[in-house]
Amino acid sequence: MSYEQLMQHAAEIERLAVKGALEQKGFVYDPHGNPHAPTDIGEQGAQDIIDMTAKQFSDVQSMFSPFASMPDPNAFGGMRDDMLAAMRELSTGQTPTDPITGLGVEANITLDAMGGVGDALLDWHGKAAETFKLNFVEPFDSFTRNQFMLVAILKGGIEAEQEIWKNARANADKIAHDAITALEHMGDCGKNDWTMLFTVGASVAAVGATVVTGGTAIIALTAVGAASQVVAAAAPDDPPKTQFSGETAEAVISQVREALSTLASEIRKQEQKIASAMTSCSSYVVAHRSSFVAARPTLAGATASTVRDSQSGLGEA
Amino acid sequence: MSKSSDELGAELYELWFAGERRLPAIAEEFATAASRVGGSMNGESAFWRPSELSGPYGAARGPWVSFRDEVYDILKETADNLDLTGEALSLAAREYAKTDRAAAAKLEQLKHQNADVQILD
Amino acid sequence: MGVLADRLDSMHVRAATPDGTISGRLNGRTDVVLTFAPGYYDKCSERDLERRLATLATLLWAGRMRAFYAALSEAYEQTITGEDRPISPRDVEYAELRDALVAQGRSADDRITVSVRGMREWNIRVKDGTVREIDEHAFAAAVGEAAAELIRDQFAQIARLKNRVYG
Repeated sequence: MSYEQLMQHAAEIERLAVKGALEQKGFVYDPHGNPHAPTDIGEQGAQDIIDMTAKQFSDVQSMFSPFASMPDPNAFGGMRDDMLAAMRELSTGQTPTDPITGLGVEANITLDAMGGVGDALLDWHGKAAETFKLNFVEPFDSFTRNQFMLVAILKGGIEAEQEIWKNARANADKIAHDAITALEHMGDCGKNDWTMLFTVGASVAAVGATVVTGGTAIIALTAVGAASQVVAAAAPDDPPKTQFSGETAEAVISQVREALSTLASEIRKQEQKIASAMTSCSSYVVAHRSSFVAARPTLAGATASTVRDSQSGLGEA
Repeated sequence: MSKSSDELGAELYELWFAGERRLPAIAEEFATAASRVGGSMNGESAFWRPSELSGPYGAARGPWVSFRDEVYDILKETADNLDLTGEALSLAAREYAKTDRAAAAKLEQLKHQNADVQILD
Repeated sequence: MGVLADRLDSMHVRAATPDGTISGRLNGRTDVVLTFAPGYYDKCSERDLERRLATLATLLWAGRMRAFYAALSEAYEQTITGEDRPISPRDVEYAELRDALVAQGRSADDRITVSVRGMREWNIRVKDGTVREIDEHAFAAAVGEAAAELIRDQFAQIARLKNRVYG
């Protein structure tokens, strides 16, 4: 991986393009890298051609520069770790599993203490006690599992984003290397064909994350994850593959421009998939909030004067 | 009264233990989850990129952040509900104890006797 | 420098005539080194040398193209063993003109002239009396000069040809 050298590669591409274009016009480079014009065009004519050719390729570096400042996949690591830490807090039940990656998440046994809370209320039958047991204690595991799922979906979104930039950086690097190869190949006899696989186009995979609503109904939300990490994903997209060919320096550079533009558009499409998944999950949660968080128990608002009440408290001792 | 003061004292102890120890411990887990989810805000600048690449933050960041905020609210609300309910249960234990001195004594005796009991015991 | 340029600069290709009398090495892009089986040079004729050098050039260039495609495959990270059959009118035109292209090289002492059409039909001329007048080391050096000039000429013409057809 030499992504960090992308701008050095861009400078090399510019230099090789100028050299290739001048050679096509009959210039010969000496071993010190200086171009010598064909004898029939005169000194001024030669300088004009050199200047014009340099100008022709002067935007090569600016073509690459946005791609040299792409997000660093590792910079998302902290956010990803935050989500994983939250998942560990919310992890309940037998062998809890990250729905996106299929990896186990150790259960947090502190949450089991809710069983003891239910037991403590067994003999209290005031209305607020009963509704707390019914609406809060009993479905506690379902709420917690659903919340765990939401955080897993957030983590999947971040991992998908990381995967996009990991691939995009590798693809930008490959575009630069292929351009250098194509330009170095220029003077050789063979035709100049190469293929670019835009792996970034297969970064984000859709995966279902199930939540329980209304106590029993199981709903699958559409989540996303890094294609290299997801389990049971829908068949991943084939990464787009483009055939390039360029027999002149101008043609190679125009192919590079096209490749970079494909790269940008593939990045956009992949990020859109994350955006759509997050938007639809978010809308679902907003519309079905009661499946993800219990209504505030009446008991939570009890005061010294109401806590023994048969309606708003625990009722008769 | 159908229940002896000793029985009531034991039940009040269970209420007190659930309210004072169990629910706050559970609430703490949700509060931590909420704070990790909310804390991810510090990493959001990772999305930055030049304007040529749908800058400054691209299409994914906005929807991810608003979903993240929604999940944060849910976790925070759960933690608050657990905390407040815990307070209500220990309040209840105190209020009922005021009505029965013998039960109150039993409650205090159990608190003292079980000082080392863990929430999952 | 990219992978391809690096591989082409550091390429070593070897070949020998079927009878083993002359061996050749291509180092890098243009450096050709000849060696003779012991005793062969002093008793051969200029015509013998011309025939064998033409055979050797064919073998050496074939080896060079294999090494070239291996380097290209490495640089593009995909297996490339040759080029597709030309289909577009421009590709057909390029292939035809390239096959007809004649490259030449000559030693500084004018004793040796090398030319090739389409990098396939080699023609070597060795001035009469050469074997008697210079030893095998001087001869090998002269062939090296002619070969290097030919290879440079070929590539310069290819660059201009590509410009003409595709530019």
